Amino acid sequence: MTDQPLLVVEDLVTHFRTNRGTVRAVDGVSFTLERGETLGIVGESGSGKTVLSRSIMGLLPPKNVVSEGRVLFEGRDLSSLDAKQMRAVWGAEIGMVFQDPMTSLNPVMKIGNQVTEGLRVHLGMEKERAIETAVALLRSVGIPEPERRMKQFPFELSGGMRQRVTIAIAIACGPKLLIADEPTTALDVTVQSQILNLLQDKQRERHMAMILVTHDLGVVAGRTDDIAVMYAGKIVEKAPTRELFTQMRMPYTEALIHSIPKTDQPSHTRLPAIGGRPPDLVNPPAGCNFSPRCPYARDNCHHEEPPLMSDDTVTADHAFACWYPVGVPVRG
Amino acid sequence: MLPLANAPVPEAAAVEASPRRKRKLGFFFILSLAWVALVIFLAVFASVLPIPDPNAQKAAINLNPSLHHLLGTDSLGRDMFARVVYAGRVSLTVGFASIAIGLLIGGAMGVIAGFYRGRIDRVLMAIADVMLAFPALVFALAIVTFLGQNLRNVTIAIAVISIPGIARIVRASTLTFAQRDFVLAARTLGASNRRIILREILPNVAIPIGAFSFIAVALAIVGEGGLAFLGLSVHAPTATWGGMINDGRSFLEDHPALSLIPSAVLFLTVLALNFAGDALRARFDTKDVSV
Repeated sequence: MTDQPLLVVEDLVTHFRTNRGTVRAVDGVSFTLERGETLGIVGESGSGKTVLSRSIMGLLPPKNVVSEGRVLFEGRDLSSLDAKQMRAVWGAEIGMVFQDPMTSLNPVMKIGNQVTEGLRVHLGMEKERAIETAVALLRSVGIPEPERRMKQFPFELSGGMRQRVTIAIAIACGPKLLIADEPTTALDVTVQSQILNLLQDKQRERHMAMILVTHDLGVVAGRTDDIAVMYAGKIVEKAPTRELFTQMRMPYTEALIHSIPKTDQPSHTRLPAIGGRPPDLVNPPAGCNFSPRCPYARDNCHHEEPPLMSDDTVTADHAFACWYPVGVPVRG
Repeated sequence: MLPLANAPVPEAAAVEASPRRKRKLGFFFILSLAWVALVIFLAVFASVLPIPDPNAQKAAINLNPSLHHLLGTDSLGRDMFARVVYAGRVSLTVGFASIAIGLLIGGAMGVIAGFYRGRIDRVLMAIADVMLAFPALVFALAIVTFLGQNLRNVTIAIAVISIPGIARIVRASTLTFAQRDFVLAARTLGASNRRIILREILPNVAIPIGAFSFIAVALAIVGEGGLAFLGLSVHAPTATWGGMINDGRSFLEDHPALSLIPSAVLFLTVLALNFAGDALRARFDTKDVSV
């Protein structure tokens, strides 16, 4: 039981049937997450990050969706669970933090009721104990005067405070996995690092595994064990965080890293951007999805799709999908 | 290392710094509520208050207002003030009870349709459309004719007429809330559909619908007045506003007050309910407030 990984995602496919055709939002994603580890999933808007996190949670709408592959949580296939079993997993074993704390809290319910709800439903706590636990939880996520906040409504709290509350709610029942979907995107820059530090503290303190979904490589740098870079519904590079930043192989990763602003550059330095647009997920380009925008693309990049592979220039945990990886002399 | 990263949470101060911006409900709102409260108070306590019997024909007919008869007497010598007050009982009972029933049934239909969508939504909305397409007056006529002319049946008739409209409005409101993240968040916390509907959706839907129901009550009161005018509401001699307007119709030239007084009371009550409903709707319209 304990030696198997916490989460195994195998060849996960999520396609949406639309009037325009099939949108390949998630197109064959596999990864493994061990207990207490953190994985960053990075990609542009529309690369399928959010759909991936919702697919793992099993939160997709029932209609016009093609789902394939398996999500094994502690060896259980989540897609085989019925609605009732799924509800026992949600909240109690997998928690989720959403992007916008303005909309992810119920505007007409007091903070206290929202925090205690999960405690009472999943852990069967009495009202008094649930309130005590909730106060302690709110304090532990850095909310001053938690007793007073319990009686307030969400609109009386600032954005950062609200995100702290949603984190408290998500971790209330001690989930083994926390999925944070762009947890800082809707927040002020000054509050972002506080929230990220908080997530990291809680993750370590409770030995939770965490999936941190973001479009910002700067967010995951130094906070995750591994990073998976997504492009057009696929993982195009996956590596331990440090190695990804130093020895990226996929040109897309390289372009992403180059487009992080650096404070040590002189002012007015032009920030390199990635030319072109993300591919249309209904009609993805032939060959490598990134080839139309790739500065290194060659002929076969436009015809043959590279598999996610590893080679002897990188560690075993490092995989990339590119025929002509960055930093490796072209063979043959 | 950013100095901010470990600083004690500075955003706490912002909470106090931005006091809740209250939109004034205004003078007319207070006035409207006061009028409605007065009408309700008189109707509820009519039998306890020193108000003459509304059906006693003791006085002379068509008296002008005096201390004895605050609003004069009608063509049968009945006290007009007493009749207006007692008529309020019928109008308010029908108005509030029919909308309460309408909210219960129409609201349930709307929430279920808007939350579950799909086939159940199509079936429920098809039912609502059929009900909407049926002429309301003919329906009310049929109910009152076949089931009998009494307070209960008038209430039922107006309640049924109100159901499809309420169902549609509640459904629309439910749709906007069902898409919100907090519903998804509740789901990720393991909340069942029932729990989501009762705890997450209903309290949110209740606010705009509560404001709207004032206007619905006003419409129901007008509807009752219309039925009474046609002689389809409760039996004479029980006073109703619509019935009183009808009674005074034959004396419009000589004694216009007989029709004008109940008309004015009906008008003011409906106007007050509309005002109150509108003010509340504007107050709770959260579309421009990011809560």
